[in-house]
Amino acid sequence: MAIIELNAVSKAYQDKTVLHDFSLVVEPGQRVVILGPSGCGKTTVLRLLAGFITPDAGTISIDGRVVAAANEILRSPEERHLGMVFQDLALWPHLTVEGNLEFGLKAQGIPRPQRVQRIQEMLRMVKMDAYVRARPAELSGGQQQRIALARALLLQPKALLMDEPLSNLDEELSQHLRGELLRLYERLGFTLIYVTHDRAEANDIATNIVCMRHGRIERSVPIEDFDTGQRQ
Amino acid sequence: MRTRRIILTAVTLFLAVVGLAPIVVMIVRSLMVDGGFSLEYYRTLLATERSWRLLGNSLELALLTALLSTLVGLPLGLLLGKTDLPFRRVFVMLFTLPLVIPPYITAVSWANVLGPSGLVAALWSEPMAQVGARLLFGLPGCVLVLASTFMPAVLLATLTLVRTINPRLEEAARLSARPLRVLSGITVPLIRPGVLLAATLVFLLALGEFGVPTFLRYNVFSVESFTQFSAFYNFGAATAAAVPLALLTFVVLSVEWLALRKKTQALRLTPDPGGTVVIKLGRHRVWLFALVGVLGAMLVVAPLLSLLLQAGSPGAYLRALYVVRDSLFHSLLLAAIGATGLTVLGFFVGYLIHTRALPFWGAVDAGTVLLFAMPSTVIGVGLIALWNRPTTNFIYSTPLIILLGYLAQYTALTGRITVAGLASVPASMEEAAASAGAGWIRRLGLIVLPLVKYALLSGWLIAYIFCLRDTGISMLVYPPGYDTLPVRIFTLMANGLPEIVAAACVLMIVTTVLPLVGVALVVRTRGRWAWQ
Amino acid sequence: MNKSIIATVTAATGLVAAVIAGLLACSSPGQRVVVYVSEDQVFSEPILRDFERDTGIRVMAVYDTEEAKSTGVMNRLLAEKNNPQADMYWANEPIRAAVLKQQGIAVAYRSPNAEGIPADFKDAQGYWTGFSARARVLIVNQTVSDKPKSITSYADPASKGRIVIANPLFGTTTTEIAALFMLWGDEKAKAFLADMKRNEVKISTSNGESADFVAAGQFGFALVDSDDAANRVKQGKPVELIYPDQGDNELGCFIVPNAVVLINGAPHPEAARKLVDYLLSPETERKLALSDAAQIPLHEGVNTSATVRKIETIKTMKTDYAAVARKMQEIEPLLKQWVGY
Repeated sequence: MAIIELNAVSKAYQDKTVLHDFSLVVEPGQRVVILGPSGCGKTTVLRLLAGFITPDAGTISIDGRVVAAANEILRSPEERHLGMVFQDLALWPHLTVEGNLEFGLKAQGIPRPQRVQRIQEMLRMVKMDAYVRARPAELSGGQQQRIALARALLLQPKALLMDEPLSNLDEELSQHLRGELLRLYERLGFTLIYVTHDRAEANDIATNIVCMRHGRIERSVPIEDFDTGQRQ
Repeated sequence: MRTRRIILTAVTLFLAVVGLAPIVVMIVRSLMVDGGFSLEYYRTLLATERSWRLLGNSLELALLTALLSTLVGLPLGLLLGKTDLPFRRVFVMLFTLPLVIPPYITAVSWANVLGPSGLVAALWSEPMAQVGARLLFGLPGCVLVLASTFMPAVLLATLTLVRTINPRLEEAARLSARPLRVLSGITVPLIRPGVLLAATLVFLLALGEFGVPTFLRYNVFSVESFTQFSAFYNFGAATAAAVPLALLTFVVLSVEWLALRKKTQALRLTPDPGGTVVIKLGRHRVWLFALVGVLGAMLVVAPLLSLLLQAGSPGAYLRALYVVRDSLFHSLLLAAIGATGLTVLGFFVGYLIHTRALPFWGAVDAGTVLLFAMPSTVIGVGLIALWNRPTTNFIYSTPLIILLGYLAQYTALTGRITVAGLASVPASMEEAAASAGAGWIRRLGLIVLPLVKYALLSGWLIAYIFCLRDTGISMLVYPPGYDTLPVRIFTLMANGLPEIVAAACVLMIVTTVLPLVGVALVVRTRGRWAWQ
Repeated sequence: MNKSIIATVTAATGLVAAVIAGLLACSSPGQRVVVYVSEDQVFSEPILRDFERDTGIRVMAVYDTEEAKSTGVMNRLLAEKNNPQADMYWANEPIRAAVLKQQGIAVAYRSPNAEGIPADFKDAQGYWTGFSARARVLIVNQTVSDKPKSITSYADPASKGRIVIANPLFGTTTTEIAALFMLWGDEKAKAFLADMKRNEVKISTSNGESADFVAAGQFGFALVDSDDAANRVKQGKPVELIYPDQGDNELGCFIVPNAVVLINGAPHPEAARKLVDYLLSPETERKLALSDAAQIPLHEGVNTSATVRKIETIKTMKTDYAAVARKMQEIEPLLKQWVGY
């Protein structure tokens, strides 16, 4: 059964259509990369999935349940069990690394011993266990990335959404983090929906690629069928 | 750069002469007894048990006011700034109303409700009325009036601050937590430094307030200074009485400076074009709306209504208008000119503080805030002491002295608003213009000013309101024949007919609110609020 | 583009300068007189407007506010001593006038209209002249059976818990107490104060408040100004006005006249003298007697209303106001202590 399903979803902002009749099915364990230029609507897809905005038309289902329909939110963000890494990471500056990671676990009612254990495990996995008490402002760009990732994965989400997370980094760091992401994927086996405008990233990460332009899907193919040398 | 240095230094000097010189003169006077240096006034002041008792009263009043203002203002600000509560904008305007009218008018209207001949007395029994009167005329009444006056400061601060939070921070939290938890765990901690700043300001304003405690017969320290003036004709003692308040203001501001400033600046993120994350209230909408409505009705509508009822017929307004017409004209003119002067001065002061262009920027910042929190009595008498000489008669015997008083007391407002406005303009804007060869004046006029024009407009409006509502300074220094409306109403209260007084109060409120409403309509059609 | 900025700035500066110049030129051509007024604006302003109308001289006034809330028109006068702005001062009691004389701020002027005013109510050297007076009277609630006839009723044990008096640190109450000190001597006066304290006298913030308390029945009687009492009677409140100590060997009623003072170094002395004359005229006294001010004319034979007795029918307290002024300063610490300062 598909873990995520968008069915004929449309969204417009102030008379401008951002998403048009968008349909997408994501199977468990897939790494779907939505590729497209700025303004094509890819971030909107993520925000619709997360539940921050409401579709004008169509339905969105997660794990077989309809979570959103036309002008209706049926399940609020905290009930959808999704994880997300934002473009600017959105680490909470007033909390330590531990606080950032603990927030969601606390909110979900996980008791303290388990919280501590899971946080420790996750930090070890992303090799940041020395930085438990650090504040985000004290971390480097790459370190912040890892914490953002850790925070999103800690809640064992049904799917991980990533909104151009590496766009602010230099090439070397970006490649390194891509590797880390895949390594984590091997260990944890999550479903990934990754948005970017960078073809190299798409190539590295994807099992499936969805090309978008002007709010529509141009192509949706497995990575094997995607011609990497193809010029846009 | 030299132009910049010269102009900013000139502005600082101007501020020093206008604002600080009067205070300095007064402090000097308080240290001179019969021509020689002496600490006599201070000795007498600090020796009496009464002084300490009054100081205690002042601190208690200020603390309770700040506390209540925050306890009400913060949640209200969150409700009105982050949810889909209906009629949010109307509520914001409603709750802000007491801030824009002279506090003693609010006190008068509450006396109309709770006083011996007020609404409650008429509607309820005699004992109830007695209880009401006893509550009003004393500490509870003062806290009520001052909290309803200054709570909007916390409310508006909260409203502004939640807009500066990066929405992503709240969205990231929304992925795992309910809206209320996001508020308590993320939103409130992020705006806490700014809210504390606002609360501190409320504390200081309540500390220096004397009109309301005098009217409601609660003895506070600021009244002492006033009493020294009026009953005992003792300038030196009066300033000595004002100095502890000035000192306290200074100390509190220093604490704020050291502890909170850094935090607030670190968290000052640019307003996101996506706007703030709105919490849908769902089924809670109805009862929350009712709650806020009742609060608004009790806090704002009831006293205002009592004024309207007291005024009675349209005839009363006509008569009041006839009686106060000159003062009204004076007020409008002076407030408009004062606001303009304050906007200009505030712009340069704000620019100086924001860019730290000169080494003494910190002193300027602290100085303006100190002047703002200073009791108006001190500034007023300082003005007289400084300017009442034959050579400066052209200032002293004309409305110019009132304007100088406004500039001294209220520059902090426009200065800080400019700083806030400049904060959302990336430094790169000015730098780009500079590297393109534009001189400072040109950069200011063509790049910076257009980018902060909404902030400047807000600043003008706020300055206008504060100049219009000013009572303390105007009362002390107005030249013969040139009284302002709040002063006129004050003298009317002595023996005027209650309906005329009430009608005049209503006129005062309308005069203040009208331009705000006008601007709100204009700005709304352009799709933006002035504080964005 | 630089030019357009300069043009805008110049235009703005020009506008501002024009406005400021306009403000400075507030002085319109023609005669003017500057008067500081302690009498309630509601009563004094109409008189001053009449003066303007009758003489064509423009009146620029600064008004006082209520007693303790006073911004101190007096303070302005004292502060401006070396550079007087005011031409004359309309005091609502003669003590302030006496203080001004002491401080060298007043200058002597004997108005022709001062002739009809009894010597008791003007300065011997002509530094101030009294007119339109209030009397210090007892306002008594009608439910009180044994009506007080003297201010010494304050010391009567039967009055315990039923008396109120305005704060003796301000206004006419201070003056009267100082006068008592003069007439009775320190011992007797101090004892009187002590007796009042023993009788749990309540201290109100003003005479008006005292009158309201008595009218509302919270207290039996209070010593207030005659206009406060007269107005409550006029409003139909259940009170009556009693002139105290009218018996043959009794103190008499304390009289508080308004007073006009010409300021030393006044910018417009001639216009000031005209205003002084106008205020001291029987006509002005008539207006003030018939208005809500309910003030007692000091010229004989001036028409008054029913609630305002003529001065010749009242037994008045013999008062040397200048001496009272000095006594006031003397007993200030004592009063402060008595009030609880």
